[in-house]
Amino acid sequence: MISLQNIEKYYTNKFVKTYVLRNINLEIEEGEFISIMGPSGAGKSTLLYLLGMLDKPSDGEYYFLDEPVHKFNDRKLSELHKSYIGFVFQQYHLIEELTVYENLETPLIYQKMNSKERKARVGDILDRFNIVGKKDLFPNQLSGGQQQLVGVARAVISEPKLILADEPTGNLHTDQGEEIMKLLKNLNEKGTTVIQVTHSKVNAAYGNRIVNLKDGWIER
Amino acid sequence: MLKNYFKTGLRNISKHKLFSFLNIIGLSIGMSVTLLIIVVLENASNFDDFQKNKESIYRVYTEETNPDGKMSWAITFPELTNQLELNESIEKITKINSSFRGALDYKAKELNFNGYFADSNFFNVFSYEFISGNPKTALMDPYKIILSEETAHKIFGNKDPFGETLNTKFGDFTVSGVIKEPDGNSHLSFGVLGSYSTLSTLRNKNLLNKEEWNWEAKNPEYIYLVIDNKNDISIVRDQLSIIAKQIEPLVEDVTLSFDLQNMDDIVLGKQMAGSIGPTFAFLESMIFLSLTLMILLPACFNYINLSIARSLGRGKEIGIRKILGGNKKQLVLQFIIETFILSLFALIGSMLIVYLIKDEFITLLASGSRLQIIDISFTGYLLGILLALVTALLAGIIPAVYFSKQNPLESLASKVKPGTFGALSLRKGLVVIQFALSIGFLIGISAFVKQYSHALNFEMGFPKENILVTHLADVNFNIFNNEFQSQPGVKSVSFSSTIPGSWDNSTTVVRHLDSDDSLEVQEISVDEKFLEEFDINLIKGNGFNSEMSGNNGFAIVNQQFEKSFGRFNSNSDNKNYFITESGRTAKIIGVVEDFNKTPLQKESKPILIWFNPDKYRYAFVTLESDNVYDLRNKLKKVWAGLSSMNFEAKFLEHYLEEAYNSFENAIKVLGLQGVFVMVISCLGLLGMVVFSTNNRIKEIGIRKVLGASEGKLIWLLSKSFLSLLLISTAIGVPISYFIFDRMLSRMRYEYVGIGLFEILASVSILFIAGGSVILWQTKKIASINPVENLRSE
Repeated sequence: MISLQNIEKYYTNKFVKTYVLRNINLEIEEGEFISIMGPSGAGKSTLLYLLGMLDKPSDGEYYFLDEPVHKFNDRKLSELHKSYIGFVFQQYHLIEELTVYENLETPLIYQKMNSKERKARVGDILDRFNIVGKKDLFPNQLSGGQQQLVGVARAVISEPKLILADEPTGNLHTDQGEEIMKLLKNLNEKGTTVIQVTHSKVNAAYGNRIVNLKDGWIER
Repeated sequence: MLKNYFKTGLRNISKHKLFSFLNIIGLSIGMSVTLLIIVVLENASNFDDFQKNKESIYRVYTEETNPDGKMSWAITFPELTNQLELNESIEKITKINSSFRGALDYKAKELNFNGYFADSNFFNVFSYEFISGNPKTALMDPYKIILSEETAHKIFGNKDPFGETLNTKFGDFTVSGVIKEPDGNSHLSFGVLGSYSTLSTLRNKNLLNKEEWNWEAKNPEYIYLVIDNKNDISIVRDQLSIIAKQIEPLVEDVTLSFDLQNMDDIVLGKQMAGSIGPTFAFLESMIFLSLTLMILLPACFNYINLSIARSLGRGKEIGIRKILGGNKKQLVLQFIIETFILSLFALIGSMLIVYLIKDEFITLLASGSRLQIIDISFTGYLLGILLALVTALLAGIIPAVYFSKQNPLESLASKVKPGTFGALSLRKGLVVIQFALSIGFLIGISAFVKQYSHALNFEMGFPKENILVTHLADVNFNIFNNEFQSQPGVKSVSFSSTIPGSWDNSTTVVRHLDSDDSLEVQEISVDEKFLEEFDINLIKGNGFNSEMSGNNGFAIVNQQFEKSFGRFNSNSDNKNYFITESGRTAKIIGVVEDFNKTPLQKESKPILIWFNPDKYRYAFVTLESDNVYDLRNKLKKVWAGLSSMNFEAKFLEHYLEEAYNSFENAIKVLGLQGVFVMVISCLGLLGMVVFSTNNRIKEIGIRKVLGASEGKLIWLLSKSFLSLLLISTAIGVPISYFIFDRMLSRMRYEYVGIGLFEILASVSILFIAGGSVILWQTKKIASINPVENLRSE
């Protein structure tokens, strides 16, 4: 599904090249659950966002479903990522001006889905995640765990093939975190590929493969 | 999708109250002036819609070509109708003379009125409904008067006035009808109509100027035609040009021609002299409309500025939307819609402002009197919404593009500083432009105020106090002299053809008998006591005396005349003789010191003074200084014994003040716009100071803990904003000085110049206004207890 070949990421700043990622080669099959681990500053998040097409590699080749992503322009990238990828963030990143219902609806709006279908989808996901009663609340009226639940729900609502999660449990209590991890596992078991960045070995254990990063290199 | 955008927009507006408040107020003010012009123009385009024949009514107007260029006059010659009546293409013709005005007297009641003399065809051409009277005959005979419903009600209450007699300065009139007020605005607005045949009677009695075809007389005569078949218009035009060729005007170098103008084009058509009703010069309105951008744009700048200033908070939302799949186009659209909602709120605010200022502004914008009602119609509302949309685009597009271009990862990580280089300099630039505009308005206002007060206090070369100016009307000046001179409290009485110091001006060209060099001079005809009454001293030779006969071939000139005329070569025998352009030869018998015959001249003009009782139109009665108003009332009674016409008397000072109305208007318009621009600029500055100082609360807290004094912190926070004000001043002062200096020095007045005082005063006002906004906010931030704001982080 994903193939990274000799990916490099660096920032040039007054004649000094600062490398964030070095010579990354990675193959990911559909249906995998991968955990990216490593110390702070190892480049985990950068790798995740590269995979999510929110950032571009400085060098190297990236194939997503056999498409050469590194050659795409912004618009094509945006098309690709909005139809195949869902994001979950440590800080949840819900839109504070919108209710739960509207937050869930937003990705569908950007995919130009008609309102009837949107209604059905949002209703369905509210049911599945058991948050029907919360649909008219604003994010700041929810607990962290509930917000992240909405965050995951929003990530899966457009039925992506790939979910990218950046320390999804980082801001949560242990049992709330467990609930979210089980949810991701569940989604993975139904066929969605999941890639998460995590510090926690416990969370990493939900996955079937661990990629260890150190100073920008993948440790073998 | 749109629903979602509207919802977010509304929530954003209500969530960020300060931001919304500053922008809604600013945009309201900014949009109000533009909205006002739109409403006025929209109303103007509906003028005369109640006229059933509107499409086929044409007005004959006059084109004057003189050495200075071309000029259009709405007025024309009533004699044209004699020939036009023979033209079969013309269905109907009607003549109007707009000089029917003054006061109506009915049993001790007096009412000022404005109206026309109209012939009996008037109601065949124009559509008015009669309440009483017969439209066919009402204007047939002399001394008949038709009242509008309103006028009739004011004088007679609910009584039917038909057959009653009303006294005016033109004589006694019998009421022959009452008509309904038309449903809508019209360029013809009148309280009464007198029968046109009255004018012929008056002319025969020698009570009115009878010089026909005399362009100088410029009688307010208008001709309207009904031409049903559009193809016939060219036939009428041809006839008019044939007539024009037969005219020999009395003034040299002037040729006249005539043309037709559809009723639709009268109000919003080309600017003409001698208009009968309100005209909105389309071109001028457009210039004015573009000037209003000077107010609308700063308001948009505020929006741009404040939007970008709070990008830190906003950026996060935009970042999430991008990650969720929003593309640039969708984000730009969202932002524009949000701005549109805000400007709809501002539209409501601007409508309130329009209601408050419209009456004052309309009198400035529309030349001509009695513009009845300006209402916002349905189209007006639609245009208002369109204005809100345009405003939204103007204000919203830059922030929209700015946000849509941001990298979502950076905005999520809060890495975007509101002061990234490009954005920061854009914002500073906008503030500088706003305050440079403000200083421009301030300098403009102070320059006009200075010019105005200079004009009012100007030494005209003659006394201005306690001189009562009376229009002679039908009273013989000798009788007037005898009656008034003998009244207690009257110091002296004299007569002249024009009022000194007013625009009432006539000129001629003179040359020596034996030379071709010619000089343009102003003319005035006076009596023997005039020079003494106006305290104009004789320097050489003799004055006029009462034994002289009129038109005697003698003239007095002023020093400027003598100086300019003396430069021409002439045989010494003929030195004191000259000939005018109409061929009159005269001898200069005296020279007087210079005085101003017209307002505030740049330099003294040559003046030629005749002794000619035939031309006397005004009497000047100098009163003893106390109780001048009581005395005026006494004199009114004396007048009543001499004439059936009304006593039209005003003090000379009033005439002189009237001459400077244009300054007063300019000060009002500039003043209002200046206040608007200042308020908008200060709102923008406040917003910018608030947002950027809020970002520095933590820094200020740390500095305070390290021992910085409050004063130093205020200075630290304020200095960058003060330097913006300085830059605005440095840019604004020279540019506005240049513009207003040019503008004022081109006027026909003596120009006093913009002094250091005006500039310093303007700059001080700017700094006081801007500085207090800055101080208010920075002091607040600097006085926060550091413990509180460091803990909150």
